[in-house]
Amino acid sequence: MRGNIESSLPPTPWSAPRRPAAPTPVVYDGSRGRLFGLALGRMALTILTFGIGRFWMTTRLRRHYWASIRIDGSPLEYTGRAIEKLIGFLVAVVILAVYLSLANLALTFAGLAWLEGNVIGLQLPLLALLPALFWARYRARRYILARTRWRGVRFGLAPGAWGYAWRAMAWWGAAVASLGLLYPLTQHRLARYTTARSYFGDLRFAQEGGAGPLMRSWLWVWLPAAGLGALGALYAARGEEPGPEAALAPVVLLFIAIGFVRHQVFSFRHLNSLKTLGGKTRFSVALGFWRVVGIYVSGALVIGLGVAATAAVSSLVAAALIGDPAALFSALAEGRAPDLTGLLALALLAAVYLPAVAVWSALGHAFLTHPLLKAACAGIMIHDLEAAERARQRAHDEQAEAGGFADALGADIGGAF
Amino acid sequence: MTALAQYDLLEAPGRYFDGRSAAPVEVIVKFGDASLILMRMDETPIAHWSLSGLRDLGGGGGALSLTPDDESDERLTISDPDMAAAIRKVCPDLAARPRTARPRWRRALLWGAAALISVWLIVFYLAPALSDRLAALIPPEAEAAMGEQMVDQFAALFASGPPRFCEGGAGGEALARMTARLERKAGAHLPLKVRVLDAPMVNAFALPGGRIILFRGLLRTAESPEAAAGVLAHEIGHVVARDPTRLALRSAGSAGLIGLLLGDFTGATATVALTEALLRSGYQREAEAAADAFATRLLATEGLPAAPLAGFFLKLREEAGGAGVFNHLSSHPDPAARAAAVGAEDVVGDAPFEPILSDQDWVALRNICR
Repeated sequence: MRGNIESSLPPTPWSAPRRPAAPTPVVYDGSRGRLFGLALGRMALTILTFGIGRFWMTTRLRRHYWASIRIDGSPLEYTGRAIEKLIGFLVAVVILAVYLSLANLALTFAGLAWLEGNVIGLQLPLLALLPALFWARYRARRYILARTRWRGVRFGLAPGAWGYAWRAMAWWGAAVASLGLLYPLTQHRLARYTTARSYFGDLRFAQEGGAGPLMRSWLWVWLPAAGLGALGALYAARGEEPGPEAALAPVVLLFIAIGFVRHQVFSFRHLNSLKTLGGKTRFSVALGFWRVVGIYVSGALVIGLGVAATAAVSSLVAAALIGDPAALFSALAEGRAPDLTGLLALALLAAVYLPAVAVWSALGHAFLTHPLLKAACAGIMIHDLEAAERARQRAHDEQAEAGGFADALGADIGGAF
Repeated sequence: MTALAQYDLLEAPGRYFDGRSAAPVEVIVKFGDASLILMRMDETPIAHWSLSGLRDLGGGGGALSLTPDDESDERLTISDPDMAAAIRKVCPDLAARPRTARPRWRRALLWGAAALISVWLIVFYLAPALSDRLAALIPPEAEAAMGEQMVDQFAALFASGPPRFCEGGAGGEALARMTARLERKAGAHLPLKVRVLDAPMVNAFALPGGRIILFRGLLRTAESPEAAAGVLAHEIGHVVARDPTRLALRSAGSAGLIGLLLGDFTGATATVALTEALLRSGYQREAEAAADAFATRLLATEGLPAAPLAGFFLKLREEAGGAGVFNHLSSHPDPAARAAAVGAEDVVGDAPFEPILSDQDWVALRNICR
């Protein structure tokens, strides 16, 4: 599927290629084998360098994924550099180390002194992280968009991380306070905020439509969950054992789980179908729920088998290297090498655990991210792409911190991305 | 350039983007002298791109997406298969990685040093110093209330079935007498509350608010009232130093910093857990050594021998069977080392002393849970 209209024409210079008829498909032609090799090698390097290599891993993988997505013959480009991510991360560590330490101390002290160390009091330090987390996520998205190009023209996200952080706190607060009922509103408002600040060149994206359809989809999850919770609370309040109808609970739970995945797929479709670029270019997104479930199920199977096989092989190798384990353990038991015991146990654990982790990560890319991206791209159609060709180049956005805060806080946007 | 000569007559359509807008310009592409020539349809040239600087930004297969060099905003897409193959053949560096400017490495090293130093300062100086001061500011009533809550949670953790504290009777009076004698000169910031938990483990704990829990197993294992008093004095040492709250604050102050430094890649999880455990046990071992020193001092002021406590540590070691397996990870120092340190501070020796409990009281205390 990589040829476009030009390549089907006779290759003479004189035949001016025709513009593709609207709508334009999004083509994903990444190779699964190359991706697996890339991910496995980079993950091994990451492990061997105690995590420092992850900046090179992310950069290389993003370049691969971006370059595999073609719109009207032109690939997306990722221009981020690993070294800028490393520097951004180190800067974030210096700042966050001081902030986290002081905030945790202050909040733990408050918990001990005024809340008598009860459970909620001891969770307070987590609150210190939340605004920083939201702030960092927005900044990370800004960095990624600032390093994404199409046809040489940059994408961008306008500044607004603090505005995002307090809105996210407020909307997530509302979602929690309403026991989850308002979650679609949180989704919609935050997507609208971010989308309205996103640009391709000088053309601005916009999020149209309301939260109504999201809410209807969410009720399929929320109502059974609320019903189940209310019933449970009722029995607990009366101090009764649940009746025979409790046997239905697993069925309802399965229904809720399926509903949740369905809602996530629906929100992806709904929110992205109602985005516009420069007021003219539109997108239609068709991603089937069962397709996603199929990818997750088969991906989980492949990953589970792959990791188990790796662990088995590395255990055998480790056992062969040790030689006769009985002799070793008797030497340890007699105290002939007491200081070694702990280290040896750790080395054995590492020899089995680390290869499994590397394979896990690589299989995750090859059998989850790759097919999901492929399915998502296959369902996207861009209407009136020509209107987007008006886009004028935007200035380079330095973003010196390069997503470092999100990386340090573990708030990265979904692994490779 | 024999390879180039072969493609002398090759011309193909391409789409050129000037880097200022996303609008395509249809062009004709052909090879020049070590360069790629881009011309409009009317053959007016737009650009000469040096072949050595060309980079492909596409995925590597199929159509080419070229840029004249790493810094340029200009692009050229070529989907003509012959032309794409020709360019791939004459430009071996198409997939070369973008080069990184040199001074950035210096900045990375500088910030790396700054990150390591700041985490080191916080973990070993700032967090301990701050938490020692903050611990003293916690109001005693709050500490007592917290301790009371923790006693119940804690007992439930160790007892099978509903936890039971052994109280009252002659044993309770003996315990009160022992506590009173040690508490006199201890200088704790709040009154002690010592209780015996009906559990077989050889163990004792100090919780916030001056709460101390001795396990039944400990009283049964101790060979003399002075050994039990030594353990109690050690726990009183924790109370006086406000260790329960101080250490909670310390680990809060350094929590997450190691994880921050190592990042969140999957293999790091185990490393982070291990380092944090080492750090916590480091704090803890420091506190244990201090409590041991406090115990020997307190025993000396009361004219009591420390040798029984040393003997108790040695007995623990025998029962555990040699050195602990994860010695570096265990929160308490090696019993043999502790025994030696405590025994060395014994001021009584073989001289007579006033026993902390009469034989009768000691028997009652050992049997407090009967």
